[in-house]
Amino acid sequence: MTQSAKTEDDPPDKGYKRPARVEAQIAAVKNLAPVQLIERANMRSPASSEHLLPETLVYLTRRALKTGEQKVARVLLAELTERCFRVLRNRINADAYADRDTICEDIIGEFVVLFAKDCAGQKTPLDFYECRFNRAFRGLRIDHLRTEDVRKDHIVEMPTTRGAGNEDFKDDVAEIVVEALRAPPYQETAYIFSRIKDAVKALPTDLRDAFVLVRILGYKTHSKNPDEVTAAVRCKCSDRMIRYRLRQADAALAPLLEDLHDKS
Amino acid sequence: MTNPNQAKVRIPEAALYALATEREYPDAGLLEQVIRQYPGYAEALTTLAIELAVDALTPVADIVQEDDQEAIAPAVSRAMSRFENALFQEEVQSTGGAPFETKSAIAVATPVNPFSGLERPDVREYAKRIGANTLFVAKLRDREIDETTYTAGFIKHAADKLPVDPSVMAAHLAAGSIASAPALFHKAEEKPVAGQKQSFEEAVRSSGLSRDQQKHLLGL
Repeated sequence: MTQSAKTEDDPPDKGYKRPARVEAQIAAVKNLAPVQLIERANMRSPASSEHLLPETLVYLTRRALKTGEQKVARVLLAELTERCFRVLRNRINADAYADRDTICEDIIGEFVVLFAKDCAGQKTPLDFYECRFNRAFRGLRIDHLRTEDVRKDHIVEMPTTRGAGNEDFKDDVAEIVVEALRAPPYQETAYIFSRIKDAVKALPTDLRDAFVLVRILGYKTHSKNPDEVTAAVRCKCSDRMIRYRLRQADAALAPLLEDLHDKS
Repeated sequence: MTNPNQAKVRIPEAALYALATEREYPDAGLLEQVIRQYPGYAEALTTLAIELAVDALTPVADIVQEDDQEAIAPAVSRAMSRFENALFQEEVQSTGGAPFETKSAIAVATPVNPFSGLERPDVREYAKRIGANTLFVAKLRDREIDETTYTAGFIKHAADKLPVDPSVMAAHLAAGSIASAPALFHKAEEKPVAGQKQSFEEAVRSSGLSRDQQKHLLGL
Protein backbone atom coordinates (compact mmCIF):
# COMPACT_ATOMS: atom_id res chain seq x y z
CA MET A 1 0.00 0.00 0.00
CA THR A 2 2.50 2.52 -1.11
CA GLN A 3 0.00 4.96 -2.56
CA SER A 4 -1.98 7.30 -0.41
CA ALA A 5 -5.63 7.91 -1.06
CA LYS A 6 -6.38 10.58 -3.57
CA THR A 7 -8.08 13.75 -2.52
CA GLU A 8 -9.68 16.52 -4.53
CA ASP A 9 -6.35 18.30 -4.17
CA ASP A 10 -4.67 15.38 -5.83
CA PRO A 11 -6.71 14.85 -8.99
CA PRO A 12 -6.16 11.86 -11.23
CA ASP A 13 -3.40 12.09 -13.80
CA LYS A 14 -3.53 11.44 -17.56
CA GLY A 15 -4.74 14.97 -18.08
CA TYR A 16 -8.19 14.11 -16.78
CA LYS A 17 -9.90 15.91 -13.98
CA ARG A 18 -12.90 14.82 -12.07
CA PRO A 19 -16.02 16.65 -13.22
CA ALA A 20 -17.12 19.49 -10.95
CA ARG A 21 -20.19 17.58 -9.78
CA VAL A 22 -18.00 14.66 -8.72
CA GLU A 23 -15.60 16.96 -6.89
CA ALA A 24 -18.54 18.62 -5.15
CA GLN A 25 -20.03 15.31 -4.08
CA ILE A 26 -16.70 14.00 -2.81
CA ALA A 27 -16.24 17.17 -0.79
CA ALA A 28 -19.73 16.77 0.64
CA VAL A 29 -19.40 13.13 1.72
CA LYS A 30 -15.74 12.53 2.44
CA ASN A 31 -16.05 13.35 6.12
CA LEU A 32 -19.19 11.36 6.76
CA ALA A 33 -19.02 8.62 9.38
CA PRO A 34 -18.72 5.09 7.95
CA VAL A 35 -22.30 4.24 8.83
CA GLN A 36 -23.53 7.32 7.01
CA LEU A 37 -21.42 6.51 3.97
CA ILE A 38 -22.91 3.04 3.86
CA GLU A 39 -26.41 4.51 4.09
CA ARG A 40 -25.64 6.82 1.19
CA ALA A 41 -24.20 4.00 -0.87
CA ASN A 42 -27.42 2.06 -0.45
CA MET A 43 -29.53 4.85 -1.94
CA ARG A 44 -30.20 3.37 -5.32
CA SER A 45 -32.40 5.89 -7.06
CA PRO A 46 -30.31 8.09 -9.38
CA ALA A 47 -33.05 10.70 -9.06
CA SER A 48 -32.26 11.16 -5.36
CA SER A 49 -29.92 13.97 -4.41
CA GLU A 50 -28.37 11.53 -1.93
CA HIS A 51 -27.43 9.07 -4.66
CA LEU A 52 -23.67 8.56 -4.89
CA LEU A 53 -22.15 8.89 -8.33
CA PRO A 54 -20.08 5.92 -9.51
CA GLU A 55 -16.99 8.14 -9.66
CA THR A 56 -17.54 9.02 -6.01
CA LEU A 57 -17.94 5.36 -5.10
CA VAL A 58 -14.64 4.56 -6.82
CA TYR A 59 -12.90 7.35 -4.92
CA LEU A 60 -14.39 6.35 -1.57
CA THR A 61 -13.67 2.65 -2.07
CA ARG A 62 -10.03 3.32 -2.95
CA ARG A 63 -9.66 5.59 0.03
CA ALA A 64 -11.29 3.11 2.40
CA LEU A 65 -9.06 0.28 1.19
CA LYS A 66 -5.94 2.33 1.61
CA THR A 67 -6.84 3.58 5.05
CA GLY A 68 -7.80 0.13 6.31
CA GLU A 69 -11.55 0.73 6.56
CA GLN A 70 -12.21 -2.70 5.20
CA LYS A 71 -15.88 -2.98 6.05
CA VAL A 72 -16.74 0.32 4.39
CA ALA A 73 -14.64 -0.59 1.38
CA ARG A 74 -16.47 -3.87 0.91
CA VAL A 75 -19.92 -2.34 1.19
CA LEU A 76 -19.06 0.41 -1.27
CA LEU A 77 -17.43 -1.98 -3.70
CA ALA A 78 -20.34 -4.41 -3.49
CA GLU A 79 -22.75 -1.60 -4.31
CA LEU A 80 -20.64 -0.47 -7.23
CA THR A 81 -20.31 -4.04 -8.45
CA GLU A 82 -24.06 -4.58 -8.34
CA ARG A 83 -24.67 -1.43 -10.32
CA CYS A 84 -22.12 -2.56 -12.88
CA PHE A 85 -23.68 -5.99 -13.15
CA ARG A 86 -27.11 -4.46 -13.78
CA VAL A 87 -25.67 -2.22 -16.47
CA LEU A 88 -24.01 -5.19 -18.13
CA ARG A 89 -27.15 -7.30 -18.11
CA ASN A 90 -29.06 -4.43 -19.64
CA ARG A 91 -26.43 -3.70 -22.22
CA ILE A 92 -25.51 -7.21 -23.31
CA ASN A 93 -28.16 -8.84 -25.41
CA ALA A 94 -29.00 -12.32 -24.16
CA ASP A 95 -30.12 -13.29 -27.67
CA ALA A 96 -26.67 -12.52 -29.03
CA TYR A 97 -24.71 -13.99 -26.13
CA ALA A 98 -26.10 -17.27 -24.83
CA ASP A 99 -23.72 -17.17 -21.86
CA ARG A 100 -24.46 -13.55 -21.05
CA ASP A 101 -24.37 -13.95 -17.28
CA THR A 102 -21.00 -15.67 -17.39
CA ILE A 103 -19.66 -12.86 -19.56
CA CYS A 104 -21.09 -10.28 -17.15
CA GLU A 105 -19.39 -12.04 -14.26
CA ASP A 106 -16.09 -12.17 -16.09
CA ILE A 107 -16.26 -8.43 -16.68
CA ILE A 108 -17.17 -7.43 -13.14
CA GLY A 109 -14.58 -9.91 -11.89
CA GLU A 110 -11.96 -8.13 -13.94
CA PHE A 111 -13.23 -4.81 -12.65
CA VAL A 112 -13.08 -5.62 -8.93
CA VAL A 113 -9.57 -7.03 -9.23
CA LEU A 114 -8.43 -3.52 -10.19
CA PHE A 115 -9.24 -2.40 -6.65
CA ALA A 116 -7.12 -5.16 -5.13
CA LYS A 117 -4.20 -4.19 -7.34
CA ASP A 118 -4.71 -0.52 -6.58
CA CYS A 119 -4.75 -1.26 -2.87
CA ALA A 120 -1.42 -3.05 -3.25
CA GLY A 121 0.08 0.00 -4.94
CA GLN A 122 0.03 -1.31 -8.49
CA LYS A 123 -0.70 0.97 -11.40
CA THR A 124 -4.31 0.57 -12.50
CA PRO A 125 -6.72 2.49 -14.72
CA LEU A 126 -8.95 3.40 -11.77
CA ASP A 127 -8.12 7.08 -12.25
CA PHE A 128 -10.14 6.89 -15.46
CA TYR A 129 -13.03 5.45 -13.48
CA GLU A 130 -12.83 8.30 -10.98
CA CYS A 131 -13.19 10.82 -13.79
CA ARG A 132 -15.37 9.22 -16.46
CA PHE A 133 -16.78 6.09 -14.99
CA ASN A 134 -19.40 5.29 -17.59
CA ARG A 135 -17.04 5.66 -20.52
CA ALA A 136 -14.32 3.67 -18.81
CA PHE A 137 -16.64 0.82 -17.88
CA ARG A 138 -18.17 0.88 -21.34
CA GLY A 139 -14.67 0.51 -22.79
CA LEU A 140 -14.02 -2.49 -20.55
CA ARG A 141 -17.32 -4.08 -21.59
CA ILE A 142 -16.82 -3.55 -25.29
CA ASP A 143 -13.21 -4.72 -25.23
CA HIS A 144 -14.30 -7.85 -23.40
CA LEU A 145 -17.09 -8.53 -25.88
CA ARG A 146 -14.66 -7.96 -28.73
CA THR A 147 -12.63 -10.90 -27.56
CA GLU A 148 -15.71 -13.10 -27.31
CA ASP A 149 -15.40 -13.36 -31.09
CA VAL A 150 -19.09 -13.07 -31.82
CA ARG A 151 -18.61 -10.56 -34.59
CA LYS A 152 -19.99 -12.39 -37.57
CA ASP A 153 -17.51 -12.15 -40.37
CA HIS A 154 -19.36 -11.35 -43.51
CA ILE A 155 -17.66 -10.81 -46.81
CA VAL A 156 -19.60 -9.19 -49.60
CA GLU A 157 -18.27 -10.21 -52.98
CA MET A 158 -17.58 -7.25 -55.21
CA PRO A 159 -18.94 -7.49 -58.76
CA THR A 160 -16.27 -7.68 -61.41
CA THR A 161 -17.79 -4.91 -63.54
CA ARG A 162 -15.58 -1.85 -63.53
CA GLY A 163 -18.46 0.61 -63.47
CA ALA A 164 -19.18 -0.19 -59.85
CA GLY A 165 -16.52 2.18 -58.55
CA ASN A 166 -17.59 5.30 -60.36
CA GLU A 167 -20.77 6.30 -58.61
CA ASP A 168 -20.88 9.37 -56.39
CA PHE A 169 -21.11 8.83 -52.65
CA LYS A 170 -23.99 10.15 -50.69
CA ASP A 171 -22.09 12.94 -49.01
CA ASP A 172 -24.94 13.83 -46.70
CA VAL A 173 -25.11 10.36 -45.14
CA ALA A 174 -22.35 11.03 -42.62
CA GLU A 175 -23.94 14.26 -41.51
CA ILE A 176 -27.34 12.64 -41.06
CA VAL A 177 -26.02 9.66 -39.13
CA VAL A 178 -23.99 11.85 -36.80
CA GLU A 179 -27.08 14.01 -36.32
CA ALA A 180 -29.03 10.86 -35.53
CA LEU A 181 -26.42 9.90 -32.94
CA ARG A 182 -26.81 13.20 -31.16
CA ALA A 183 -30.55 13.70 -31.59
CA PRO A 184 -32.55 14.08 -28.39
CA PRO A 185 -35.21 11.38 -28.15
CA TYR A 186 -38.10 13.84 -28.13
CA GLN A 187 -37.47 15.25 -31.59
CA GLU A 188 -40.17 14.76 -34.20
CA THR A 189 -37.66 12.86 -36.29
CA ALA A 190 -36.58 10.68 -33.37
CA TYR A 191 -38.35 7.61 -34.71
CA ILE A 192 -36.59 7.82 -38.07
CA PHE A 193 -33.25 8.52 -36.38
CA SER A 194 -33.81 5.48 -34.25
CA ARG A 195 -34.47 3.37 -37.35
CA ILE A 196 -31.32 4.76 -39.01
CA LYS A 197 -29.26 3.75 -35.99
CA ASP A 198 -30.83 0.30 -35.93
CA ALA A 199 -30.14 -0.08 -39.64
CA VAL A 200 -26.46 0.82 -39.15
CA LYS A 201 -26.15 -1.73 -36.36
CA ALA A 202 -27.83 -4.38 -38.49
CA LEU A 203 -25.46 -3.98 -41.46
CA PRO A 204 -23.23 -6.98 -42.27
CA THR A 205 -19.93 -6.63 -40.44
CA ASP A 206 -17.75 -5.64 -43.36
CA LEU A 207 -20.26 -3.07 -44.63
CA ARG A 208 -20.72 -1.73 -41.13
CA ASP A 209 -16.97 -1.47 -40.53
CA ALA A 210 -16.52 0.50 -43.74
CA PHE A 211 -19.52 2.67 -42.96
CA VAL A 212 -18.48 3.45 -39.38
CA LEU A 213 -14.85 4.14 -40.28
CA VAL A 214 -15.76 6.55 -43.07
CA ARG A 215 -19.12 8.04 -42.13
CA ILE A 216 -18.74 8.23 -38.35
CA LEU A 217 -15.03 8.13 -37.46
CA GLY A 218 -14.10 10.28 -40.46
CA TYR A 219 -11.57 8.17 -42.36
CA LYS A 220 -11.10 8.81 -46.07
CA THR A 221 -11.88 5.98 -48.46
CA HIS A 222 -8.68 6.63 -50.38
CA SER A 223 -5.86 9.14 -50.57
CA LYS A 224 -3.21 10.22 -53.04
CA ASN A 225 -0.83 10.56 -50.12
CA PRO A 226 0.69 7.11 -49.61
CA ASP A 227 1.41 7.90 -45.95
CA GLU A 228 -2.19 8.73 -45.11
CA VAL A 229 -4.04 5.93 -43.36
CA THR A 230 -7.42 5.34 -44.98
CA ALA A 231 -10.38 3.11 -44.22
CA ALA A 232 -9.03 0.70 -46.82
CA VAL A 233 -5.79 0.38 -44.85
CA ARG A 234 -7.67 -0.22 -41.61
CA CYS A 235 -9.93 -2.80 -43.27
CA LYS A 236 -7.00 -4.38 -45.10
CA CYS A 237 -8.71 -4.23 -48.47
CA SER A 238 -8.49 -2.20 -51.64
CA ASP A 239 -9.79 1.34 -52.08
CA ARG A 240 -12.24 0.01 -54.59
CA MET A 241 -13.58 -2.56 -52.12
CA ILE A 242 -14.10 0.08 -49.45
CA ARG A 243 -16.02 2.26 -51.87
CA TYR A 244 -18.11 -0.69 -52.90
CA ARG A 245 -18.94 -1.62 -49.31
CA LEU A 246 -19.76 1.97 -48.53
CA ARG A 247 -22.13 2.15 -51.45
CA GLN A 248 -23.84 -1.04 -50.31
CA ALA A 249 -24.24 0.40 -46.81
CA ASP A 250 -25.55 3.70 -48.17
CA ALA A 251 -28.01 1.82 -50.35
CA ALA A 252 -29.32 -0.06 -47.31
CA LEU A 253 -29.92 3.23 -45.51
CA ALA A 254 -31.25 5.17 -48.49
CA PRO A 255 -34.98 4.49 -47.89
CA LEU A 256 -34.66 5.74 -44.32
CA LEU A 257 -32.88 8.87 -45.44
CA GLU A 258 -35.65 9.54 -47.93
CA ASP A 259 -38.18 9.22 -45.09
CA LEU A 260 -36.16 11.76 -43.16
CA HIS A 261 -36.15 14.19 -46.08
CA ASP A 262 -39.91 13.77 -46.48
CA LYS A 263 -40.41 14.53 -42.81
CA SER A 264 -38.26 17.66 -42.75
CA MET B 1 -11.21 -7.43 -41.53
CA THR B 2 -11.19 -9.55 -38.41
CA ASN B 3 -8.17 -11.74 -37.90
CA PRO B 4 -9.16 -14.40 -35.34
CA ASN B 5 -5.79 -14.13 -33.62
CA GLN B 6 -6.07 -10.36 -33.28
CA ALA B 7 -9.69 -10.56 -32.18
CA LYS B 8 -8.73 -12.52 -29.08
CA VAL B 9 -5.89 -10.20 -28.10
CA ARG B 10 -6.57 -8.03 -25.06
CA ILE B 11 -5.64 -4.43 -25.64
CA PRO B 12 -3.21 -2.84 -23.14
CA GLU B 13 -5.14 -0.94 -20.50
CA ALA B 14 -3.55 2.40 -21.32
CA ALA B 15 -4.60 2.12 -24.96
CA LEU B 16 -8.06 0.85 -24.12
CA TYR B 17 -8.93 3.67 -21.76
CA ALA B 18 -7.30 6.36 -23.89
CA LEU B 19 -9.55 5.31 -26.74
CA ALA B 20 -12.68 4.77 -24.67
CA THR B 21 -12.73 7.74 -22.33
CA GLU B 22 -11.59 10.73 -24.37
CA ARG B 23 -14.97 11.18 -26.03
CA GLU B 24 -18.18 9.26 -26.61
CA TYR B 25 -16.58 7.45 -29.52
CA PRO B 26 -13.17 8.05 -31.08
CA ASP B 27 -12.59 9.79 -34.38
CA ALA B 28 -9.97 8.83 -36.95
CA GLY B 29 -7.41 11.21 -35.44
CA LEU B 30 -7.64 9.74 -31.95
CA LEU B 31 -7.62 6.16 -33.23
CA GLU B 32 -4.51 6.79 -35.33
CA GLN B 33 -2.82 8.49 -32.40
CA VAL B 34 -3.38 5.46 -30.19
CA ILE B 35 -2.38 3.04 -32.95
CA ARG B 36 0.89 4.93 -33.42
CA GLN B 37 1.65 4.27 -29.74
CA TYR B 38 0.52 0.63 -29.92
CA PRO B 39 1.12 -0.45 -33.54
CA GLY B 40 0.97 -4.12 -32.64
CA TYR B 41 -2.68 -3.74 -31.70
CA ALA B 42 -3.86 -1.84 -34.79
CA GLU B 43 -6.51 -4.32 -35.78
CA ALA B 44 -7.85 -4.85 -32.28
CA LEU B 45 -7.95 -1.10 -31.66
CA THR B 46 -9.76 -0.49 -34.95
CA THR B 47 -12.37 -3.08 -34.05
CA LEU B 48 -12.73 -1.56 -30.61
CA ALA B 49 -13.21 1.93 -32.08
CA ILE B 50 -15.88 0.65 -34.46
CA GLU B 51 -17.68 -1.16 -31.65
CA LEU B 52 -17.54 1.96 -29.46
CA ALA B 53 -19.19 3.96 -32.23
CA VAL B 54 -21.81 1.29 -32.83
CA ASP B 55 -22.48 1.07 -29.09
CA ALA B 56 -23.03 4.82 -29.01
CA LEU B 57 -25.91 4.21 -31.41
CA THR B 58 -27.83 2.63 -28.54
CA PRO B 59 -28.60 5.21 -25.87
CA VAL B 60 -29.23 3.98 -22.37
CA ALA B 61 -32.84 5.09 -22.57
CA ASP B 62 -33.46 2.53 -25.33
CA ILE B 63 -32.47 -0.39 -23.17
CA VAL B 64 -35.03 -2.57 -21.48
CA GLN B 65 -34.36 -2.53 -17.76
CA GLU B 66 -34.18 -5.83 -15.97
CA ASP B 67 -34.24 -6.46 -12.27
CA ASP B 68 -33.44 -10.11 -11.78
CA GLN B 69 -32.20 -10.20 -8.21
CA GLU B 70 -31.86 -13.98 -8.31
CA ALA B 71 -29.18 -13.66 -10.94
CA ILE B 72 -27.61 -10.48 -9.65
CA ALA B 73 -26.98 -11.27 -5.97
CA PRO B 74 -24.94 -14.48 -6.47
CA ALA B 75 -22.95 -12.84 -9.25
CA VAL B 76 -22.05 -9.91 -7.04
CA SER B 77 -21.16 -12.31 -4.25
CA ARG B 78 -18.80 -14.21 -6.53
CA ALA B 79 -17.25 -10.99 -7.77
CA MET B 80 -16.58 -9.94 -4.20
CA SER B 81 -15.08 -13.35 -3.55
CA ARG B 82 -12.81 -12.80 -6.50
CA PHE B 83 -11.84 -9.43 -5.09
CA GLU B 84 -10.95 -11.03 -1.76
CA ASN B 85 -8.82 -13.63 -3.51
CA ALA B 86 -7.04 -10.99 -5.53
CA LEU B 87 -6.43 -8.94 -2.42
CA PHE B 88 -5.05 -12.02 -0.70
CA GLN B 89 -2.73 -12.72 -3.60
CA GLU B 90 -1.50 -9.16 -3.62
CA GLU B 91 -0.78 -9.45 0.08
CA VAL B 92 1.12 -12.68 -0.48
CA GLN B 93 3.21 -11.15 -3.23
CA SER B 94 3.92 -7.99 -1.28
CA THR B 95 5.23 -10.06 1.63
CA GLY B 96 7.67 -11.91 -0.58
CA GLY B 97 5.64 -15.06 -1.04
CA ALA B 98 4.96 -15.78 2.61
CA PRO B 99 1.28 -16.61 2.41
CA PHE B 100 0.80 -17.37 6.06
CA GLU B 101 2.33 -14.23 7.54
CA THR B 102 0.60 -11.42 5.82
CA LYS B 103 0.44 -7.89 7.00
CA SER B 104 -3.19 -6.97 6.58
CA ALA B 105 -6.23 -7.86 8.55
CA ILE B 106 -7.75 -9.26 5.39
CA ALA B 107 -5.30 -12.08 5.00
CA VAL B 108 -6.10 -15.37 6.64
CA ALA B 109 -3.91 -18.15 7.98
CA THR B 110 -4.75 -20.68 5.28
CA PRO B 111 -5.13 -20.41 1.53
CA VAL B 112 -8.43 -18.95 0.48
CA ASN B 113 -11.04 -21.58 -0.24
CA PRO B 114 -12.51 -20.24 -3.44
CA PHE B 115 -15.65 -22.31 -2.88
CA SER B 116 -16.38 -20.97 0.58
CA GLY B 117 -18.76 -18.26 -0.57
CA LEU B 118 -20.86 -20.55 -2.74
CA GLU B 119 -24.40 -21.41 -1.73
CA ARG B 120 -26.07 -24.58 -2.92
CA PRO B 121 -27.52 -23.04 -6.12
CA ASP B 122 -24.13 -21.50 -6.84
CA VAL B 123 -22.50 -24.90 -6.55
CA ARG B 124 -25.03 -26.43 -8.93
CA GLU B 125 -24.41 -23.64 -11.40
CA TYR B 126 -20.64 -23.99 -11.07
CA ALA B 127 -20.88 -27.76 -11.53
CA LYS B 128 -22.77 -27.15 -14.74
CA ARG B 129 -20.16 -24.67 -15.90
CA ILE B 130 -17.27 -27.07 -15.45
CA GLY B 131 -19.21 -29.99 -16.90
CA ALA B 132 -19.55 -31.98 -13.68
CA ASN B 133 -22.00 -32.43 -10.78
CA THR B 134 -22.23 -31.22 -7.19
CA LEU B 135 -20.63 -34.36 -5.79
CA PHE B 136 -17.53 -33.77 -7.84
CA VAL B 137 -17.47 -30.07 -6.88
CA ALA B 138 -17.68 -31.08 -3.22
CA LYS B 139 -14.56 -33.19 -3.72
CA LEU B 140 -12.78 -30.14 -5.08
CA ARG B 141 -14.08 -27.93 -2.32
CA ASP B 142 -13.08 -30.35 0.42
CA ARG B 143 -9.73 -31.18 -1.18
CA GLU B 144 -10.44 -34.88 -1.36
CA ILE B 145 -8.33 -35.37 -4.46
CA ASP B 146 -4.59 -35.97 -4.51
CA GLU B 147 -3.23 -32.65 -5.73
CA THR B 148 -0.38 -34.31 -7.60
CA THR B 149 -2.83 -36.02 -9.96
CA TYR B 150 -4.62 -32.96 -11.33
CA THR B 151 -3.83 -31.80 -14.82
CA ALA B 152 -2.85 -28.17 -15.32
CA GLY B 153 -5.62 -27.92 -17.89
CA PHE B 154 -8.23 -28.99 -15.37
CA ILE B 155 -7.00 -26.56 -12.71
CA LYS B 156 -7.19 -23.71 -15.18
CA HIS B 157 -10.63 -24.84 -16.33
CA ALA B 158 -11.91 -25.11 -12.74
CA ALA B 159 -10.44 -21.70 -11.88
CA ASP B 160 -11.69 -19.93 -14.98
CA LYS B 161 -15.24 -21.07 -14.43
CA LEU B 162 -15.44 -19.92 -10.81
CA PRO B 163 -13.76 -17.51 -11.61
CA VAL B 164 -10.52 -17.20 -9.65
CA ASP B 165 -6.92 -17.04 -10.61
CA PRO B 166 -5.53 -20.55 -11.33
CA SER B 167 -2.89 -20.03 -8.67
CA VAL B 168 -5.61 -19.52 -6.05
CA MET B 169 -7.34 -22.70 -7.16
CA ALA B 170 -4.04 -24.59 -7.19
CA ALA B 171 -3.18 -23.36 -3.70
CA HIS B 172 -6.56 -24.46 -2.40
CA LEU B 173 -6.40 -27.90 -4.00
CA ALA B 174 -2.89 -28.44 -2.68
CA ALA B 175 -3.76 -27.67 0.93
CA GLY B 176 -4.54 -30.47 3.38
CA SER B 177 -7.89 -32.19 3.03
CA ILE B 178 -10.76 -31.05 5.19
CA ALA B 179 -13.90 -32.69 6.37
CA SER B 180 -17.00 -31.35 4.76
CA ALA B 181 -18.10 -28.67 7.21
CA PRO B 182 -21.72 -28.19 6.22
CA ALA B 183 -22.92 -31.46 4.78
CA LEU B 184 -24.65 -29.71 1.96
CA PHE B 185 -23.77 -31.92 -0.91
CA HIS B 186 -23.48 -35.40 0.49
CA LYS B 187 -25.97 -37.99 1.49
CA ALA B 188 -25.12 -39.27 4.96
CA GLU B 189 -23.59 -42.55 3.82
CA GLU B 190 -21.45 -40.79 1.23
CA LYS B 191 -19.87 -38.17 3.45
CA PRO B 192 -16.17 -37.91 2.76
CA VAL B 193 -13.60 -38.71 5.38
CA ALA B 194 -10.63 -36.42 5.84
CA GLY B 195 -7.34 -37.97 4.92
CA GLN B 196 -8.55 -40.39 2.23
CA LYS B 197 -7.61 -38.86 -1.09
CA GLN B 198 -8.58 -40.15 -4.48
CA SER B 199 -6.61 -39.60 -7.63
CA PHE B 200 -8.11 -37.10 -10.02
CA GLU B 201 -9.09 -39.90 -12.39
CA GLU B 202 -10.68 -41.95 -9.59
CA ALA B 203 -12.61 -38.90 -8.45
CA VAL B 204 -13.92 -38.30 -11.96
CA ARG B 205 -14.84 -41.97 -12.42
CA SER B 206 -16.58 -42.31 -9.05
CA SER B 207 -18.72 -39.18 -9.03
CA GLY B 208 -21.65 -40.37 -11.11
CA LEU B 209 -20.62 -38.36 -14.13
CA SER B 210 -21.72 -39.28 -17.63
CA ARG B 211 -19.20 -40.79 -20.03
CA ASP B 212 -19.03 -37.54 -21.96
CA GLN B 213 -18.42 -35.54 -18.79
CA GLN B 214 -15.67 -37.94 -17.70
CA LYS B 215 -14.06 -37.81 -21.10
CA HIS B 216 -14.17 -34.03 -21.13
CA LEU B 217 -12.67 -33.59 -17.66
CA LEU B 218 -9.96 -36.19 -18.09
CA GLY B 219 -9.05 -34.72 -21.45
CA LEU B 220 -8.32 -31.26 -20.10
